[in-house]
Amino acid sequence: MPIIRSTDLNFADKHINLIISAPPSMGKTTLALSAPNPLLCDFDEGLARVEPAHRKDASICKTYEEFLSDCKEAEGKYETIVIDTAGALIESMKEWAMRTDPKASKANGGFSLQGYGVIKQEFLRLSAYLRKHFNVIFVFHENLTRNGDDGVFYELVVEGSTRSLVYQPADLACHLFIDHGKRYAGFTPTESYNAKSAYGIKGIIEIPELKEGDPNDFLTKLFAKVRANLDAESKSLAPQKATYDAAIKEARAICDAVKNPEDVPLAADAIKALTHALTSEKEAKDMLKKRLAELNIVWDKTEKVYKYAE
Amino acid sequence: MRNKIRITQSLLSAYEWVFKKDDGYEDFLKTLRREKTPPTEAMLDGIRFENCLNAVLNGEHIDSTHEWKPVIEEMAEELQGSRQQVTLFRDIEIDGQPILLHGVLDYLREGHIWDCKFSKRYELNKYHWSKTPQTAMYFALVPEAFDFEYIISDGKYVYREYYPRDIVPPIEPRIRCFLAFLKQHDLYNIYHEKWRVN
Repeated sequence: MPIIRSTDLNFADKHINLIISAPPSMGKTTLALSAPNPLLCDFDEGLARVEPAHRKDASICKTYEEFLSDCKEAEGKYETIVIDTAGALIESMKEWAMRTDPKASKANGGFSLQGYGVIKQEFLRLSAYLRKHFNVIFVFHENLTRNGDDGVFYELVVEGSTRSLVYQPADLACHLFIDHGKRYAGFTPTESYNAKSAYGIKGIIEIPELKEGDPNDFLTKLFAKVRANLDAESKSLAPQKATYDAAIKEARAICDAVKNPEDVPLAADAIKALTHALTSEKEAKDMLKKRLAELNIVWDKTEKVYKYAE
Repeated sequence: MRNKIRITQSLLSAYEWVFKKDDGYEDFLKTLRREKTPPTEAMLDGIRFENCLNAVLNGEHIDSTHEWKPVIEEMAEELQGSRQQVTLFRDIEIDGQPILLHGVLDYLREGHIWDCKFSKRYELNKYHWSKTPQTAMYFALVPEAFDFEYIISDGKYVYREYYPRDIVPPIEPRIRCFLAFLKQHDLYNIYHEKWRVN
């Protein structure tokens, strides 16, 4: 596999995986459809609630197999897959698992514990497959639950054991809320909701109100910003990375050259004198420390010299 | 000149549990007095898991039938080339009190810190920086690091919690609360006696 230099990385085609969650009627589907060239996989009949001007192509998914087949067909034609809602998708996976995997059904016909394992694996596989071809937006309903004595918490409406897992493939996750008539997306987790920030997208971002004739392009712009941030970060880190790599390489050679206690002060000085970047100095010192342990060399506090341990 | 005292994330964490758990105060006193307590089953599982991960990172083969093979391999791929078990110290001063921060990072590489956790019942944001002082403490120990990731497994799946430096408040206010608590509860002398840096 060819190695790509960090300075040559190009994020223009990076696919983004986003979770949008909110209680009903917050405009989740409309927001999801503001992503670039989307196909709505409508498990929840949410398209009917979107303003006609902002509706996009949709696949009305009755079964999990139909959804997979529609995704296959969408490859190369759409840039974004919107799954609305992901809770309903997981319900359809349960039905699929019971039909196709004997482990998923209990003897009395209910859904088995092993079935949830099947779903978790399939969810991760699906997320990885979709990311190869599309941006992916998982839309979730939220419920309000209690949190401590007087707090509230917005929790995803999804089978409990999969709740922790659905955030794993996501680059970003936002909770939508309204404050003083304005709509916001929270990307940083708080005591009352979960979220996920990355690539410089964090905190609370206002979602402008869509007036007649306005393009619905909030996520298209946000995804462009993610790619621009990634590109800028990569370019700004490149010189530090080159210095770091050189320092680590030299530190390794310095440590390998230590053969006896007399070599240690020179090696320590040489490591200190290197041009360091990122965490290279701490890593280099750790390398030396472990080299001394290998050679059974210790620092004698009283005599203030390195010597072999007795 | 006041004596320098040591602070670890485990000590701060034991203090913060005082307010979250019924027997948190008793447990905190044991930690403060540096009393040895036998490891729990969960701790032993965590040690076994981390040893297995480190062995693979150091080039050992993991048997194809091993219960943790898929997750260990997934984690090892991410952590390849990192320094393991990096012991670090940093001198700071809070309200005139010299303090030695002390911690052992699980993994460090290129400005990234990772901490490996084994949790049979993982819940989302279990290790959020507001719930544990570890994130802020390790950022204080490595001022050059720009992010911290908890890489967690329940043995079947790998979970991640990612915290960039700029969203994690500094450790100093938490240490200040801890020192104030010790003074209020007449524990400051025990702390100095047991945690003084010689």
